[in-house]
Amino acid sequence: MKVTTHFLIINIMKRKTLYSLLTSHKKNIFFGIVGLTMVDMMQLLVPILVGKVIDILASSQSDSYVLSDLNKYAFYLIICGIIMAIFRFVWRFFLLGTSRKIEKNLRDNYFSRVQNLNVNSFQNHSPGDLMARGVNDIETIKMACGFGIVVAYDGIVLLTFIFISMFLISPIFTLYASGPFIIMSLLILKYGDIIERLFTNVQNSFSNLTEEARRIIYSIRVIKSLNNQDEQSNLFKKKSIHYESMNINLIKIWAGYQPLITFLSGLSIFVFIFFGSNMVLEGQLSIGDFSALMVYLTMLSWPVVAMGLAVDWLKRGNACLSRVDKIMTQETESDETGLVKIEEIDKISFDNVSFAQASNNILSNINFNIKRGSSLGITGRTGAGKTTLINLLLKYSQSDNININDIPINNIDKNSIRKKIVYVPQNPVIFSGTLAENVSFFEENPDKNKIIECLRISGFINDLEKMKSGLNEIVGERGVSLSGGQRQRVSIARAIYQNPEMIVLDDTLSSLDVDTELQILRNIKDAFKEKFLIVISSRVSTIFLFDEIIVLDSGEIVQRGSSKSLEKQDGLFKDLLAIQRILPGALDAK
Amino acid sequence: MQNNKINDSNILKWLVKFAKPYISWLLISFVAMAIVAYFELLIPLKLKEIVDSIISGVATKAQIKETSIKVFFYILGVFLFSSLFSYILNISGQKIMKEIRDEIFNHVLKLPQSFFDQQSVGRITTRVTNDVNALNEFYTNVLVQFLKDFFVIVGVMYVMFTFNYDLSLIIICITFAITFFAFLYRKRLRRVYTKLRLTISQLNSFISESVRGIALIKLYNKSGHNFSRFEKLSNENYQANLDQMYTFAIFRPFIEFMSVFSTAVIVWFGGREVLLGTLSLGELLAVLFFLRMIFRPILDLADKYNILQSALAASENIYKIISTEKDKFGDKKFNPDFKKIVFKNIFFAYKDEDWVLSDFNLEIDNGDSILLLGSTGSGKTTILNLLLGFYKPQRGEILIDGVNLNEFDIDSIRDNFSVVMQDTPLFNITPDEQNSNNNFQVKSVGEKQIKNIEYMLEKPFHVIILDEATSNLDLDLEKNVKTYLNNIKAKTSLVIAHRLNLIRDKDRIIVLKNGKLIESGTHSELINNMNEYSKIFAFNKQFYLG
Repeated sequence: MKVTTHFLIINIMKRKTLYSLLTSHKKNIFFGIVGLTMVDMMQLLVPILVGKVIDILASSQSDSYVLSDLNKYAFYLIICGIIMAIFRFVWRFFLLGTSRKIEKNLRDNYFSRVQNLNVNSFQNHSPGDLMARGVNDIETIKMACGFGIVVAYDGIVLLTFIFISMFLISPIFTLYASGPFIIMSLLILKYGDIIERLFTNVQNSFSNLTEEARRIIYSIRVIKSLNNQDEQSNLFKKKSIHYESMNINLIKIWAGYQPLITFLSGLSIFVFIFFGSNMVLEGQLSIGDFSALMVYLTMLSWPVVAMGLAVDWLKRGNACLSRVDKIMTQETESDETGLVKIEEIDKISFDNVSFAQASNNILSNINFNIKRGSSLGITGRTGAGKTTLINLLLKYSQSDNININDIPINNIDKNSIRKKIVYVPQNPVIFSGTLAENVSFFEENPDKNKIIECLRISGFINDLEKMKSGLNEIVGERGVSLSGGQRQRVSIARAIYQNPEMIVLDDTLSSLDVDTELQILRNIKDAFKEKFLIVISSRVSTIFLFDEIIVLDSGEIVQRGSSKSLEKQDGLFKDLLAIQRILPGALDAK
Repeated sequence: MQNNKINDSNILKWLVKFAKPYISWLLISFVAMAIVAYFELLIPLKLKEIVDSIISGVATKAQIKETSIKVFFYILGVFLFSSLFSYILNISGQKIMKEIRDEIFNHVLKLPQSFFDQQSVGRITTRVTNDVNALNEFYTNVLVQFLKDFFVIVGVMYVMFTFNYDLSLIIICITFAITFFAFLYRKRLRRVYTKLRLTISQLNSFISESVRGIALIKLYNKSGHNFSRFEKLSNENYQANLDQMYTFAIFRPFIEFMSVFSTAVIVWFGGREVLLGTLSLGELLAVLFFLRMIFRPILDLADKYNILQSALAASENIYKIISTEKDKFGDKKFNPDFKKIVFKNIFFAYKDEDWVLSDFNLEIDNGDSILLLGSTGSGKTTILNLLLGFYKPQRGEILIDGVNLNEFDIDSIRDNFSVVMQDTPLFNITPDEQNSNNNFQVKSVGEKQIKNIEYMLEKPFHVIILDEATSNLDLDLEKNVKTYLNNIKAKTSLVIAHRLNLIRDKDRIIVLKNGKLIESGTHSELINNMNEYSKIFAFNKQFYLG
């Protein structure tokens, strides 16, 4: 069920803004704002209550009367404190809770989008980059959607409140005092844009830093064996320095930002003393109004700071959101759910298939058919285009003239093809998890017997017996290191577990000794005798006993047939076979 | 390092250590902060002065002009010094973080291989990047300002005591109650932050692994399934985030409630004393004013306390890495003209007592050309791992001309060895080049292998180790490599392979089975032994000759 919903989400992916993120949680934000307003109001009430007490104490009423009032107001104060505590909880719950919800949803969307990105996107975006955007940037967006909103609201409400009150007392004076504020707003906006730009640089640099660390840690064994630690450490240092300098660039501008805002709002105090006092002296302003204005001016300091913070956080959030958006709006693999789905494969044909990449011909004029129950071997030199051939069949790369059951594959849903044709890549990937999880590809309730059967076919059963925790042995990045041959066999078992109609092994037996290789080939041939089997190998021996063999050279089929017939022809097959048949010691004879 | 227990005071010491070189910077910022505080105090005083004189009607235009100019300079002073303060503090924060980052990373590079077997790449990466960033606020917000808030609280308390003893006592009691509460809350705060950092590193690891395995996920049609696994982690992070929110949604309002509560208590007690005549109204007002002054830094401290706990949670993870012991080796330099490398009664297990090598013995002479044979998982790669010092044997020793491997400078050994390992990531080029060359799936494993071998042969070496480095090459290429190896004289080679066809008679064949050396000799010696090798040979012959 989850599978279908997340595919729905990703098909409608517009550029997101902080505003669009927030408006999808209107209700919660509304309640949060109500809570915040209540707290603001209560906060104004406290000094009024304290003032009352002072008034009473200053008045000359009877002690018992004053005492009962004292009790009353102390009680009110405590009630006031309790209400404030409750509403403080309320706004945190709604506003900050929502920001976390936004963070989670955005991250989930982001990840599902990343998974469906076009293959080419992974050339421009390294794993480290995708990590940084998906975790670090989205955290900053959370801050913007949480405290960013809180301070923005607080600032706006209090500023409006204070200015209106001041305006009611003296419109002219308010006009003077708002001069610095107009300059300030312009400055804040200008500053905001600079902060956004510089913060984007910081985050981009963080992406590079993350990737550098990840890359080096990932290849640690090679680095050590090359004794290359110092050089790598310097490469990392370079990124570290770059990140530092991007941060410092931001600080150079930003360090003066908040003080400047405070300075400008402080100017209004200067204006107050300079103009306000003169206005009193000239009789334009009463003394009472004058002291009232002063109270309001001193109240200004927090909302001004709040506005500055709000712009800072929101702009940083914006910078991060743009970076996340950049990934989210990238082209994904085309949605093919509307295309034909194949249930069973009867026949596959390549009719004059050619394929070029960056104007290099990789494959040209490829023709062949595969029928059910037959085994096909593909061989040729390193780089002859063997893997590309399969990539086309799996719609990993786009090409015409390939048909499954006489339907052009461009009309077939790629997922339905990949469900039926399972490919085992050259480089076996083992995920962090148990052996069972790796074979079943993290299925929720995997069939244990099936896993064991698959491991038997892939010749892993002896290795399994040696493992202390059996199927529950942790493998992958954080577990026992499997040898190259073991990884290959686990990945074959994983392919068989998928119940494919066709299995494609791409040089997947290379790290195995002849004995094991032969055993596995026998098992797989047996398991797929009524299905399809393709084995790609740079070694002729592996596919020697296959029904049909295709020999590729520089992207063209140069020979085809059974090994019996190819053995007799002059050609690449015979040459490759000859080298293979050089027995131990034979080279010395020359 | 090993005996450095992981507790708060050690972690704090470690954190403060990085601030030491910047002590003068921190001092300057502290002074700047004090000046700012002084000016900030002067502004309302001047304001009060002028208001008073205006109300009493004695103010003159000249006085107004003078005061406003003074105030202008105070405001300007606040601006300049707080800019300076913020600039110095933030820049030193960045510099300190860079130092920490580089130190951890350097340390990580020197950790034994077993460390990398226990931690995922994504997790270690998170320690170096995100976790270090979480420390920034400790330096910019906590270290200096903690001090300021503390001084303010102590100062105000002192002044208050000179005013009124009873009321001050009440305030002190309340302050202690809050401190006690905060102390009790410490564990919960820390737990929440530790959980949060853990989930962040899990998310990073998962994204990193998914991107690495993206081809497989797509090919096996598992994106939906993989997404639900991600969602689980994402949910955990969400829960941790909510926990943090709840913790603060209780902690902060509570302390703010205490501020109102104290006001009520002071008003009530103080009011009574005013009635009794033991306190003047002016004094009560002053105490209320001090109360406000004390609660601002207390609320501030509550925030800093939060940051401190968050930083401690982050640095605990980092500290764990830093206190993991580095690989220990000696400083003896490897002599390329060595005579003999001997594996003597080696026992080795990656985990517990699952012996991969048991009582393994092998002698390698300078100039030997050795071929290691054995079924997969028989321990061939382990031999290389031990020889290169990635792991250390649990029992037995590796001797180079009679000297234990542990006494050598391991770098000097690795310098003289050229190693091509099983599925090595393409490494012989700079990272930038690698990215542009990293045509997804276009470069086959065979092509990578050729590049790696070419690179290794360029390096000046004395011992070459190929661990199935040619398994994905076509036979023509493999033959070229083998011919090349045969032609370089006076170099020792150690090759792991499964195929026998390119063996020459000068090659010494070592056959391994279940972690033991069971046969050793040249092809012509072994072929007649009717032992394991002759079996393997018969198999190969049958397989290749049909």
